Amino acid sequence: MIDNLFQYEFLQNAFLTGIIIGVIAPFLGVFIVVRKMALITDALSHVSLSGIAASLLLGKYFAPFALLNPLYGGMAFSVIGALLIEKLRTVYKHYEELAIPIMMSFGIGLGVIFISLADGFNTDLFGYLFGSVSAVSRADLYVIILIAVLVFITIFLLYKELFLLSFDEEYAKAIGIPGNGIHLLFVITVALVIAVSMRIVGVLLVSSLMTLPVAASIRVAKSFKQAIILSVIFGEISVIGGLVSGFYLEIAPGGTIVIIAATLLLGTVLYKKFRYQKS
Amino acid sequence: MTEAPIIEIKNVTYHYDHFTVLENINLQVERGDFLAIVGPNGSGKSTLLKLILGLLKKQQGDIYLYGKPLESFDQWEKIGFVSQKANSFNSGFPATVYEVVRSGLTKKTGLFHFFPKNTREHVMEALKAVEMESFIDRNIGELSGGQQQRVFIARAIVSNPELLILDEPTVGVDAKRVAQFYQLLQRLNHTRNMTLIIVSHDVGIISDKVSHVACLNKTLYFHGRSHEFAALDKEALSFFYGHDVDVLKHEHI
Ligand SMILES: Nc1ncnc2c1ncn2[C@@H]1O[C@H](COP(=O)(O)OP(=O)(O)O)[C@@H](O)[C@H]1O
Ligand SMILES: [Mg+2]
Repeated sequence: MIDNLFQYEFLQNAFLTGIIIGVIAPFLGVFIVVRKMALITDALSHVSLSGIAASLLLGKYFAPFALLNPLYGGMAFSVIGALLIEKLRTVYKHYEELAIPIMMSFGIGLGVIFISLADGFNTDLFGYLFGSVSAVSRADLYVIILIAVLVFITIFLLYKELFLLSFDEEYAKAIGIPGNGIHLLFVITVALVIAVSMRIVGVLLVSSLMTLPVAASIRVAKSFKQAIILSVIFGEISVIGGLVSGFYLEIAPGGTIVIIAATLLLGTVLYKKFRYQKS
Repeated sequence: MTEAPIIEIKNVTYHYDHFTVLENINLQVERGDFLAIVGPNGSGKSTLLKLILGLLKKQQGDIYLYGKPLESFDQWEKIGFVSQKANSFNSGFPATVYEVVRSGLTKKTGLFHFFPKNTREHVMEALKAVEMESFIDRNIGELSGGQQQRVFIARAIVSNPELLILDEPTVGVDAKRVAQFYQLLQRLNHTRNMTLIIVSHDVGIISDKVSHVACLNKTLYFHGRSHEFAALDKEALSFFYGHDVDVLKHEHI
């Protein structure tokens, strides 16, 4: 594996991407989970898929678009989807959670249409659905690094505001924190991270990378800081372990990543139970 | 020149949809006042506080904070707030008492800035004021309701606000603790000259704890010094509540 890593550029791309999203997806995931927004990740990943399908479709019929990285299409759709969800939440004031299924089905519906219209890229699509060790190009990697840096800086700088908004939104607003603006910025970073994570874990499983490591960490973490650190550690173990085993077993890495994350979750549940019984 | 009142409310009326909750409220709070707002459930007490804090958008009338119209007021770090819903937070939330109290410094520290080095000392000091310093590294969800309530007060006072607003902070706190709690508030009021507004159900005991009382039930029935409130005859009060005051007192202890 180590030899291969030096030898093959595609493996380097996949691993570097994996290491990056292994940090940022669970990091954002902590805020998402404690704010009970976990379902938004599913909706946005499906919207991203329709963006990617739209790019591929455009590329098939209009040559210039073929040069454009479909990742951009996915990112654009994901961000627009996130903004629409926020809009819908204000429209359906008393049924805020409706925004999620509306956007999710809209994303899938649109995706299905684009995919059917261009029935030429089915094999490529498998990678988008379940992740791939070989699909990440150097160009993808650069985009992902850029997004990761931007997201990381944003979250780092707004850490204390995001913490307060997550813990007690009313209080945050009462003391004059610009909650709506920060929330919007946060949702946009989530949309971007989902779009870039999709290459590795796949549309259907990207939400698990943002939620399973967090679900495990909050079982054992005492502080918010600990929850973040543990989530990132669990996320990294899942992504790297998943990529290595996926590569050797020739399984789409989305599957192996999620299984490892789920095993870690089970581990923390058992650990907690065992500790509890002893004391 | 005399100082502008800390809060000045002029002819404020508020409706939820078409339902009038507050009608023509006029109220002034001066520096150093310790004001209790009392009134039955649904009488608009929380709504009034939310209007003062800018959490609800004003509809009719004017509100001034420190002499400035609410719309252009920007010194929110002067105001601390303990919400009625404060301890209805998600008790599985992974946060320590330290992290929760520290979050009260978010506004003061400023956007894009990190908490300063001596933050822990400030947090410790606020926790000492509510006698919770030994819990600083405990998980917030593991504390009892009364302890959590004191942590939220520490969060509200850690930034050293000049005005502290509390919405029914003693609901669910046992009677012995309630007395201690008022002592704590009196201490803040006296030693730090903090202006306090508390929404309370403890009608029976507040009058000798606070300096002023306001009785609210859609309109403001009474606003004056607490000894004047204590001197009000029972008949007037039961008229205001719509039933006997003593009954109400027992309901909420
Ligand atoms: N968001 C809202 N939408 C519609 N009605 C509300 C809302 N919040 C409060 N009310 C109503 O306004 C009235 C006053 O509520 P509130 O200010 O919370 O009273 P209090 O704090 O004195 O119990 C109540 O009848 C309540 O049902
Ligand atoms: Mg209320």
